[in-house]
Amino acid sequence: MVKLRHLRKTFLPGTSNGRMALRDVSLDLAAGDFVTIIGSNGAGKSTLLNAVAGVFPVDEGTIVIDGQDVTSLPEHERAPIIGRVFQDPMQGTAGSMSIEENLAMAAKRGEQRRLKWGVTQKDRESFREYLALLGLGLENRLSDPVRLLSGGQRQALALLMATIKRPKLLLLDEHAAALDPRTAQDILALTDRLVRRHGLTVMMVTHNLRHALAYGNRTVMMHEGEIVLDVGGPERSDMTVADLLERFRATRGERLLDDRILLEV
Amino acid sequence: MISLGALSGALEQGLVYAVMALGVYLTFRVLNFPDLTVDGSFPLGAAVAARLICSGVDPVLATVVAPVLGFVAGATTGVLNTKLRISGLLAGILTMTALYSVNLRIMGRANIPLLRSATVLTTLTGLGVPGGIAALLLFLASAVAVKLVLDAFLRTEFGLALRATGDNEVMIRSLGVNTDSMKIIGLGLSNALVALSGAMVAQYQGFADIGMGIGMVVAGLASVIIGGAIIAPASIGLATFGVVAGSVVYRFAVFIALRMGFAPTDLKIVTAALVVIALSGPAIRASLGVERRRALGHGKAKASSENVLARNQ
Repeated sequence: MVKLRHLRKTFLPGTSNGRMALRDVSLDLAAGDFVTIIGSNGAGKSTLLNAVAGVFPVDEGTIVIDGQDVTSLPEHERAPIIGRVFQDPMQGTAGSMSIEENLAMAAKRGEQRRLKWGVTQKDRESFREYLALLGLGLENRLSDPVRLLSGGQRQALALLMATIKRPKLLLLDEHAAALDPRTAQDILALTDRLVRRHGLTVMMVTHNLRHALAYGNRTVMMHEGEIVLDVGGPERSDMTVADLLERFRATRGERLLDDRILLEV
Repeated sequence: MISLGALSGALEQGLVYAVMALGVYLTFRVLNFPDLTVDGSFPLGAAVAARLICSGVDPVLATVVAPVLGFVAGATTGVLNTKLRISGLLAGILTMTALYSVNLRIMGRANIPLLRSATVLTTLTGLGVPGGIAALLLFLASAVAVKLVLDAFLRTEFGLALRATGDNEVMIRSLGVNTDSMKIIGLGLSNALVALSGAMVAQYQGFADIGMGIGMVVAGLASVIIGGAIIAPASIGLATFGVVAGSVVYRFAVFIALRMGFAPTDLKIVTAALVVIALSGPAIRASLGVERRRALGHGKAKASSENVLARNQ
């Protein structure tokens, strides 16, 4: 479903601040794969997701999604096949617009925007049904501006928006990291439910090693712009967080995980 | 004693300039883009209409052509900003400056009188509309029509994407919208309205002048701000209604300022001051809030004595 081949990206090349964020990253995802991506700060996790989403062009390598080479497409032309949720709940929704307007825009992801009514009565009925899945009572607040919602509610809405039109690939960039632990748990449970319901292919960046093993069917660890560990199947299901740390040290022969990751174990 | 004629004049002006203010609302509030093209696209509309009318073109047609060129002017600012990566403010200033030359070229001189020419207003009176209310009727109809069309437009799929471009560019791009195109089209539409207003104002006041756009964007902004203050913009429809009402209130305020003895040339500084006061409101309130917290927190003894004083008064 997803083929990433030899991706390279250097930010600010030729300057003293130049940094190679991706060095030769290759990764294959089968349809229905749910890959969790871990690694210390600056390992290139978010850069990888942004490269796949098309936020910036890669220097080298190819990105093929569902048989389509999207390497040279700008971000907005990749949107028909990619759904995204960001870390900041404010980033995934438009605060001044209503819940139904946000959903209507998401339901037209990757389509031509026409001079037809943005939200129809039929839309409202399906949105109500869909919002009821969240169990947050949002189905009764369709015309409320999104800025009135809490961070957790906004992130739940952002998740619905990213999946309302089934994407070929769902990119989650630490989408639970800015929330309190309880809400983060709810958002991850919701993520799991939506992914199963739609049978989605997912790349999820997380700082939490426990979450990395608890969700999805594969775990990839990155370090200094490279993939240093890729586990799945029975090997992964028997794995504990301690095993994961050990495997990492064995691969690299060094300690790299920063305090933030260790604290969250 | 203020004459009825003078009052209806202020109302007419408020309504004809409301079309311009709705354009300013579209960029400043909806697109979140501080567009200064307005000072050039307003006289552009006037210049095009005046020149065409003087060349014998039907005034209605001349008035319709003006917004087309206004669209081009706004889209130019959009291209400068999105494709050539020039900051929004500077892009608007560049287009506005270039338009000064363009407008002079179109007019051929700095001022074209239209007093003896056919205008959209004489077209109306020719249809049997009494001369005394022709301007009021036309401008009321224009302001209401533009308001309603804009309301409807902003609720379409396209309109939602345009609003989201002003609200959250990252999100709407991730949903597949080319935000560059949205900005270019939004700026074009805004300046089309501004030029339409300019074309009508020229015919209303009886001349087009190269300097008639100076301070226009600030006047438009003043109308938008006044509108937001008198009518809470809880929905698109209320917000645009507020802009129209704000424009009328602004023209009445100008009228009163003139009656109070302000010279017409002083009005720009009065308007600028008005916008400064309106925009600085939150900052001033915040700093007053800080002062009060400081008084309540760090200097408790002093604050309580002040409170006693306040209570005794």
